[in-house]
Order: sequence, then structure tokens, then C-alpha cells
Amino acid sequence: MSSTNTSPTLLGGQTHIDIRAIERELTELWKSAAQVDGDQRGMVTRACTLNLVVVTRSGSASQAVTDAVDQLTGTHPNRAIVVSLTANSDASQSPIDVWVQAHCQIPAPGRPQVCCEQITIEARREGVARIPGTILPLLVPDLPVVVWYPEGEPFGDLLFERLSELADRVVVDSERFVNPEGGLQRLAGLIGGTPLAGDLAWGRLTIWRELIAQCFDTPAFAAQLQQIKRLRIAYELGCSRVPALMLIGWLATRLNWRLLSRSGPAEATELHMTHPGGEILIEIQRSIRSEAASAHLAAVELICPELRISIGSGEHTGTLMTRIEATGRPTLLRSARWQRPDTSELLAVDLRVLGRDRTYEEALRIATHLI
Amino acid sequence: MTEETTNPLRLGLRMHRTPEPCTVVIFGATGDLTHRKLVPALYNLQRERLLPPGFSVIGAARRDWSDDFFRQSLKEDALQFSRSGLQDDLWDTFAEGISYVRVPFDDPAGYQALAIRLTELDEQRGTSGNRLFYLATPPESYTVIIQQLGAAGLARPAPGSWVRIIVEKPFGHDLLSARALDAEVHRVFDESQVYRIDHYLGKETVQNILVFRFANGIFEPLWNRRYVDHVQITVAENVGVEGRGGYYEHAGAMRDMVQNHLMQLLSLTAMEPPASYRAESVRDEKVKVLRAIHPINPEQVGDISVRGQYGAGIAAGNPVPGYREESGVATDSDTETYVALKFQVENWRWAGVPFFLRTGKRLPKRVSEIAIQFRQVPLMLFDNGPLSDIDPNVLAMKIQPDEGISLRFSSKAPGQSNQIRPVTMDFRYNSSFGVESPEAYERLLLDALLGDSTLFTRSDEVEASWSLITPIHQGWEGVAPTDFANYEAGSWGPKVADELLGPGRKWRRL
Repeated sequence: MSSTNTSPTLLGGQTHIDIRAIERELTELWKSAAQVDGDQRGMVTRACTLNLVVVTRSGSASQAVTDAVDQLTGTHPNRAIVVSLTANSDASQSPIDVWVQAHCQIPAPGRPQVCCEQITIEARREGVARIPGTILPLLVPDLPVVVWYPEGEPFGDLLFERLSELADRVVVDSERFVNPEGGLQRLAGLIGGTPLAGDLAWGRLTIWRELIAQCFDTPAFAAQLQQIKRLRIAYELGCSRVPALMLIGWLATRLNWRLLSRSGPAEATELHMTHPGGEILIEIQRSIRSEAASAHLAAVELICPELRISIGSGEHTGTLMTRIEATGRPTLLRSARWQRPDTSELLAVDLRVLGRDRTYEEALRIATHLI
Repeated sequence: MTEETTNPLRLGLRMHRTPEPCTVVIFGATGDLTHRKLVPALYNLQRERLLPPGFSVIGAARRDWSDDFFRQSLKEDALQFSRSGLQDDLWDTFAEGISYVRVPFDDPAGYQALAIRLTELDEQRGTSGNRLFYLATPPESYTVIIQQLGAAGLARPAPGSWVRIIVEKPFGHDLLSARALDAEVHRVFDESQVYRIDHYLGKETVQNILVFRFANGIFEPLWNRRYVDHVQITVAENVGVEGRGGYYEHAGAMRDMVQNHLMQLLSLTAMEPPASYRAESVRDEKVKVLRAIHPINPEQVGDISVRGQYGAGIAAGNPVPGYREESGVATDSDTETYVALKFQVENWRWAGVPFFLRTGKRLPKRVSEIAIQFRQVPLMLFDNGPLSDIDPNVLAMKIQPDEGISLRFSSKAPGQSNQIRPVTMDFRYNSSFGVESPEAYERLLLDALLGDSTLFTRSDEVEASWSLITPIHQGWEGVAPTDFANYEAGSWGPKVADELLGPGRKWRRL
């Protein structure tokens, strides 16, 4: 189904239900979904490829998550269980409340309508402890369980530990960590175990990784890859240097770089690394201006003996320009379309690989050594 | 498949690699294929960041067009035919690499001008002598273009560079002409440089046939004569000849659809597992299937084939003319617009399992599918009375539309008695994978730029296919059809096609 002619909708509104009757209510919801348009009966397709458990800590975040799940329906039909943790509450309120709702894509003409279901659990006080036991029977059997923490660091939290036990994959967004570098180290602690770890911030780096890799697809430049002498990375004003560290971690793991020394503050770090072709000087600098469209990195420059690659904002808004200057060759310029992906797009990309992403894990491990 | 890369940075990225900087030279640049398919496909590859820096396109054709006029005409059509629409700034960057050279196809001077432009691009845009020629012209021009490319020295790559050529179907119109074309091609190009394109192989669902068969353990054990009764392959079109009567008069359904698209579907369905998912391994197995098909004797064509031609009828609620009333079609035309065939693949896996193929124009709907019809259970335990409808299991791989896979099986209807009803279990691509599939030409152009020929047709495959089709034509030529037009537009073809299946079998209702 094309994303261009569809948009998500809520079907039947939200239904506040008795926690013991969730499955029964879901069945009723689907019956009513199939009857929304009298002539369309039977054209609603209930689809599910994974269980998505989302944990949020505020009401506004819950709505943002619902919107993201809505968008995700088109690419990864799922049963979403959104847990909203409410800090303040009236003692008269129930410790746990549950709603069910359906997300549907408006179908192309003649196509069935694809719908997914969302169960929202609002928990307060002692209700938080009941969450794992509430979720467990709601999981669709035989499908992967992904636990997504869209905000902040989840580590050290009892609920996170309990949910991790039933998850195949835990997804966080290190860009939203309160302490980005500390959080990155905690995240690295998950490597090698179960559940697997995913980070939406890694998806934001994909375009930089692709543009760099692409320069070395040309056989004439491939040999230069082992002779990189200098790497400069500028990160955006107001952001952490974590994306820069992850990019270096990725290059280091692919090209067998080893750390020799580090110096300087976070906003002007120098790293000396070594590899079979010699030594590399790496400079991480905070940009003096904000480049809103460039994934928290502002520019990357790679210098080899016979090749200089510069990647940064292009002339047009929403583009990144690659400039390749090689000895004895014309300068190559390439403009690439770039729009900062929204949360649902990043999540969709992360969910495409439900197995172990060894490239990410290795990059993360090295990035934490550079801190 | 994409070949292994030596670029270590590619590991874990969505694409194994992007092509080296290169120039695509499109012959027939002023035509519909270039404007509606090729350039929109290249634009979308650029949009997806799958093309290299310096990527360039040269349009080559007989008309005297300027670079600007060519770019503008491409842009107008890309606006309409690009699946992602058009983003002005991105198009501007893409169009910087587009130029036009006037090349009368038989004029050496045109090829010299082309050579000069290519050299300029090598210097200005770093395309390094890498060229992909695309023959998007009528097939009559193939030979002269190939000869002239050879004479101009454009077919031989410089050291460290590559030169490839994509040839559009039809690859000849019978076995002899296919061999003659192949000989001309091989006089100038090595087979490793030649990419014969059949856009059907670029469709996601066609590629999924191999994934479905060889990435799932539960189907392959059933995929043989022990469990399969027969196979039906259908490629139905609801349109008529759509103004292409002149072309179709010479082609007919057999050359237009069977020799390429349907034979590809048959090969992929019947082939043995290849040793690896590499171009030569996959193509070796496909050719083996074609060679295992029982040779057809022209005298016996009536036993294994049915041809038809549509008469006037109703399509989508509107009256439509018969084939012989179409523009460019002879009023006494014997050209077939419908073909049904019965092939026997004579190998250990398929001996005794007929493969039925059918294709036609002005059928009730546009639909393509491969249906594996399984044998009945050996003993029926349940009362097969008038209230029960026990059909054999069918596994249908739907190519278009509603791409997906459907399994039909029998189930007990609720109630006190054993009433049995057929039900289906459906997988639909667009329900499980919401992402938009790339156009077939995007995939195939990218593969050719990367040097991956898995989804292209090899010369021996073309020859094996024509070796089966040509005797049928020869048999038909000896006996003129007496019943044309023998099916109404908007129907499922001539009634006599039902008899081809034999007792107890029927064409699927699609």
C-alpha cells in the first residue's frame, strides 16, 4: 500500500475497558471495524507482524507515541501495547486503566483496509508493578516482542528489567538521553546478551554512513580507505558528540583502527588512532551554527594521501553535498536528498532488522571506549 | 544478487554497494520507453541515493534535439511517470548529468560524436570509461547499432573500466532470428557484457518465487510429482492492443508474452535449487528446465496448444471492438491474441505433471499468477455429499495485482454434520510490507550498473525458449485457424481451452 495515498486513522475511537476483558473487547472492536462501511464488510484486514511494547512517562509523550504507532501501521503492522506511567494521581483513581483502539490505513481503491490494534495501559502507584503481568497474556504468540523506550534512559529501572525479560529487542533513542555519554555506556552493556539493542540515533547516522561508503565503491578510491590520515567531524551546536563518536566507532570497527590517545574537551576532542596503514588524527568539533537538516552532524571530512572527501549541507535545503577531490581526476560533486526522519520512520528502519545488528554493536562498543 | 563487495564500509548497510561513476547511453532516447520508464527509474535511483557521484545519461536518437529540449521533455514525463513524483532541486542535480547526441543509427559520424561526448564526460564528471548502452529502439535497429558501436570502438572497455549493453525484448522473432541476433551481438560484445532485459524479472513478486521456494523448509518437499497434480500459470490482460496493432500483428500473444514472461515464470517455478544465488548458478538451473520440456513436434501442436482471437464484446461495462476491427490490424488477421499451452517437464521432479500456461488480451481482468494444484487426498474419509465441496489444495503465487500468496484448503463448516468448505489463508504483500516496491526497471537498471546479471536472460536461455516456441508457430502456420474470432472480449478465452486441461481439471476462476 502506497504511503502517498494513505493516512492513518483511528477506528471506533478509544474504548475504556475492564482489564480482564481486553481480548473480548478487541474482538468486538474488529467486528465493528468490519462493519464501518456497510458495503465494505470483510474488506478490513487485521494484520500483525510483531508485538510493540512502548513505555512512556508522560501524557504528551503517549500521544506522540500513538501518532508514531499510527504511522507504523503501514510498514510494520503490529499489536502495540502502550504503557503510560503517571507520576501524580488521585488516590481515588484506579491504579491501572486500559483502552483499546485500532489504527487503520485508508486503503487504495479496491484494496483491503489494513488495521492494527493498540492497547493503552495507564498505570499509577502500585499499578506499575502489575504491568508485566498485564502485558504477558496480551502478547500475540509466535511474534517478536519489541520494547521501545522513546524517551530518556531506561536503565536501572525495575520495569525495564522485567520487560527486558520478555523482549526480543529493546529500542531506545540515545539522542534523548539526559546523560548521552553515560547512557551510551549503559546501552553498550546490553551487547551480546538478550534482548538485542536498537537505537534510533543509529538510524540518523545511516545517511552519513552511506555517503561515506559510496565514495569508496569506486575501485580507484578503495585503496585509499586503508590510508586515511585525518578525519574531521563537526557536530551541531546544542547537540552531544555521541553521533560523532558512533560514526568514528563504525569506521574504526570496519577499518581496524585502534585508539592511541585522546585529548581535549568534548567540544574540541582530538583522538589519535592507528591502523595497518599508519596513524590517523581525528578531530571532533562542535559547530558554531546549527544545521537543522543534518542528523546532528554538521560536516565530515576525510583526508587520504590522494583523496579528500567532504560531506556537508548542500546548496538546497534538505540536501547533503559530497565533494570528492582526487589527484589527477576532476572534482566530483553529488547532491543527496536528505530530510530529517521522524520517529516512526526511524522506528520502521530499526524494525526491518529484528536480528542482531553486529555492525551497530561493534560501533557502539568502540564508541564507548572513545569517551 | 549483488556481488560481494570489497568495500568494508558496505557491511551492514542496506545496499552492498553503489555503481562506479558511469554513463548510461540510451538509444531510442526520444521514445516512450525512455520517457516513461527508464529516466523516471534512474531519477528514483538517484533519489534513493543509489547512483554514484558523476552519474551521467546521454540520450541518443535520430531527431535533432538540443540538450535543453531533451532535459525538458524528460522532466515533463518524469513528473507524470515517476512513482515518487518530482522534487525540483533533486531533478536539477540529476539533470546536470543529462545530455543529448544526435545519432542516426547507421551513420558512423553520429557514433564519433557520441565517443567525443563520452570522453568529455570522463574528464568532466569522472565517469572513467564506464558505459552502459541501452537499446530502447525498435528491434530492427539493434543490429546496426551494435555493429556501429563495434566499428567506433565503443564496445571494448578501456583497462580498468567496463562496457555493458542492455537489449530489450523481443530477442528475435523465432529461433533462427534469435540465433542471428545473438551472432551479431557476440561479434561485438562478449556474453558477459550483454544484459537481455525482461522487466517481469524485476518485479518483487517474481523474485519472491525463489525466496518463497528456497527460504522456507515446508514447501519444497511438496514441490514435486508426488504431491502436485498440475501447475497453472496465467498472465491475463484486460486491455486490447492499445494502438499497437501494427506491432502486434507480427508478434501475437506467443511472441509478446509466452516466449519471455510466461517462460520465465515457468522456469522459476520448476527449477531445481541452484548451488548458490549467483547469476550463473540461477541461470544454469533455469535453462535446465527449458531443456527438460518435452520437445514439440509441429504436427502435434493441436494437442498441446490452443490459440484464440477476441471478437467484439464488453470490457469493464463498455462495448469494445474485436481484434480485427482494431487500428493497424488486417481484417482477416490470423494473429493470436490468446494462447493456452500444455508443457511436460521431463525430469525426475516433474515427470507426469503438466504445466498449463495461458495468456490473452481482452480477458476479464488484469491478473498474473502461478497456481500449484496439489493432488487429492488418497482416501476421502468424509461424506462427500451434495453439501460438501472438496477441492484439492491450491497454492497460488499472485504476481499482480494484490501481490501475495494464498493457500486453499478444506475446512469443516460449523454445524452438526461434516460439511466441508474450501477456505483460503492469504498473505498479502501490501498488508505485511507497507513499503512501496521499486519499479521493475529501477531494480534491473541498478543490477546492470552493478554488473549483476542474475535477473537478466542468458543467450542459451533465449535459444532454449525459442526452441520450444518456434515449432508451435510452425505447426500453426500449416493450419490456418477457422474459428477466429473465437472468444468474446471480456471473457476468459475460447471454450476449447478448457479441453486442454483434460478430465477433472479446470482453469482457475481469477
